[in-house]
Amino acid sequence: MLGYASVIFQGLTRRGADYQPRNKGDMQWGDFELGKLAFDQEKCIGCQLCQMACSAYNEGVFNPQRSRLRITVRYSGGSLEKKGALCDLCLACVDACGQEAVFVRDGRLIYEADKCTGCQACVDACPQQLIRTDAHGYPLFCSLCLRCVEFCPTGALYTADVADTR
Amino acid sequence: MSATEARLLRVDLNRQRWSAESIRDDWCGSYFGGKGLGIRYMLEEVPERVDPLSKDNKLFLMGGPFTGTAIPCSGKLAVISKSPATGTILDCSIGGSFAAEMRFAGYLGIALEGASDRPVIVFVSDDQVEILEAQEYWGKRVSETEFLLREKFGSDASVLCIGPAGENLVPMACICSELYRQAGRGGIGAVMGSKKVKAVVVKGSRGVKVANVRDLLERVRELLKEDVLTDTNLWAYTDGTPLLVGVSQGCGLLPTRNFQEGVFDGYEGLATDAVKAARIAKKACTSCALGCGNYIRLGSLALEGPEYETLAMCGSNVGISDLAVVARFNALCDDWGIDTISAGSTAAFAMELREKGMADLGLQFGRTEEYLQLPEKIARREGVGAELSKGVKWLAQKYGGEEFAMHVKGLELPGYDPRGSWGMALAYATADRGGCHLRAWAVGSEAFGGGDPFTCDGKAQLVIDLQDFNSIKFSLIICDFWALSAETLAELVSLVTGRETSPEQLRKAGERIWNLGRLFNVREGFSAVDDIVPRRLLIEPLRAGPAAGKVPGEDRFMGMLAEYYSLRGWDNRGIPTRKKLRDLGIEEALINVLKIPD
Repeated sequence: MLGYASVIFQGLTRRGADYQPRNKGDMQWGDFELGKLAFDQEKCIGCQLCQMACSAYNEGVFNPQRSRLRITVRYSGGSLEKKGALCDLCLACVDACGQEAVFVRDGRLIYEADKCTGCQACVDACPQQLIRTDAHGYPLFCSLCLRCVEFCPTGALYTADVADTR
Repeated sequence: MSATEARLLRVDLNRQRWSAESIRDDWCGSYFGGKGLGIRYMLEEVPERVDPLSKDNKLFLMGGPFTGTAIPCSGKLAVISKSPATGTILDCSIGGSFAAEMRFAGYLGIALEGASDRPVIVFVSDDQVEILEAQEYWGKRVSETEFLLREKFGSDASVLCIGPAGENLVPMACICSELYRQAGRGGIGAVMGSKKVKAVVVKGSRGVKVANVRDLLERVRELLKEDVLTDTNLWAYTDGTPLLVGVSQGCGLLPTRNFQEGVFDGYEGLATDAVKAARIAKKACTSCALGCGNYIRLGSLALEGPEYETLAMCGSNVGISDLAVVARFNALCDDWGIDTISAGSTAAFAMELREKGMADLGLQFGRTEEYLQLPEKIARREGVGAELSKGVKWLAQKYGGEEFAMHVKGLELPGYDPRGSWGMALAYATADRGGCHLRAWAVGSEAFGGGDPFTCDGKAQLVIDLQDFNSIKFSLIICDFWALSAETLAELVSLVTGRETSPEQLRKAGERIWNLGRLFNVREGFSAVDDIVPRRLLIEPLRAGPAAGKVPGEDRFMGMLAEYYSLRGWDNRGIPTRKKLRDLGIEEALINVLKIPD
């Protein structure tokens, strides 16, 4: 379905004067004509630089809890447990959204914040429980800005063609 | 509270209360965080000549201005107190995720003050702080403690805990995190045990803000490629510290059989290829792009390690060449909460005592059975462990062998024989916490770095430069393994704090912090007579290897030490002069309180 997928955010006006848009104009965006994010857990060393970069670029704060991907590496009873959750464009959020605030158009995943009511149906629908919310309860979608890939020191994060790996 | 304000959480264990406060702005500007800020607090708040295991000692868990950001290699925590092993100032460094999590919770540091009368756990989650009953965890080993606490507080919580050794006030007890990371040296775990704090658990959701986030990110992105993930540092990823086994052997300075030799026939069994053959994963601390940790599996045993110091002090130095034995010993030390360097060194000393017929503490070079029982015995202070737990200095006082008792100021020596790299003799002698290699890793410039290892010329300045630079590095908190310049450090400080900072300012701050540590030790009664290394290392030549026949000798060593004091601006007793302290901007009040002579 999506040959090349990307995410576009439109409209950030409806939330009042105190609302700080998550995706500020001064943030640089990656090339939209890229595939989805992928994770090679063998290569991951658990440094969390991906989540540091994600939260800082998108939210202006270093805080893994505000990042759009979640990777944890911990020792647990005789093994090193690695868990990775990142947006693989499964589109469960699109199906769940009753407001058409998140949808696909021209091969791109689009989130229109103006339409979003903050109902969090997308949050509940995400099979990876990946979608976190901001302080106002609105969803934080991965925009495929690929800062996480840039900051990954081992190549554990990379982009893959959506069609190839789905 | 402003977003970048630095706060200290004080936990008063006497009254079971807590409070948070701002850290003095001028202290942040002069000492930054970590080691520097910790020592400043210790000088201010811990009375002179206090018993390190009494309630009057304090334990500071400190991050730095870089902690919890994407700055590479910024994930370590500094732990500062007065050492029960040496009586000196003590700052340790521990990896993992605790420091970042503490910063995410909104604190640059946590101070543990006073002592509880029953075991407790300190739990911190942003503004929620609880001092909880911990009787059910007391007596448990590190791995079980950590698993139980993560079950209780959630897998996203970071845990800092002690094992039975810390509870039993063993002066070589460490503080542990994420099973295999330790604030190892000087009995820091016994200080935590004396306060009856089994663990500190922290979770943070606030995050960390910096003055200039966008420029910082861009600069870090460049630095990752140009300055971090480069040949200079990537040995940490490809090999990690076991690489040094072969290097030390090649330079003839691998401690072997209690420093009787500098080359070890069985070194290949402990060398990097052996560790790599057993490796199943690499593991990094938070924000570290290098990932030095080697997670290995040997039969039923899995652990992160052993590091070089353990391979040397618990391997070649006790005459054992079997990686499986060293790894097992390492895992036991980790789980019982003991520093491997001091444990290995102490075992080696006991082995030489036996070899020389001076005492039989049941340990013999190369024999594994009794050796592998040692961590538990030390931690419990049972059987031979009752005496061995007290370390090399104490054993030498009882049984003799002072000239081959491998410690400085009561801290057992790590894995570099100074006869193969003479600057290390000065580095050990003048290290603020006793026999430690991390204050000035002179061997990196000497034997390992192409310098002349067999001269004292220029070594005083080398050691000073390294001590000063590491002081600032350990205060801002960047791991040893990123070999970055003062210029890069200054650039990062400017971006994070918004205060334009020059490399020169940082060098001076490093010197200030080193002098501050010295002042603490002077206050505790240390002076030039304590700045010495074991006699063997000065006068007894090695018989084989590249360093054979080379000894610095006492006269040359004393000359190097005198040059060091002079270059430091200290008097011949090793006491900083008023003039030096004024030059460094150390408060007049401090100079007067410490009665520094003119």
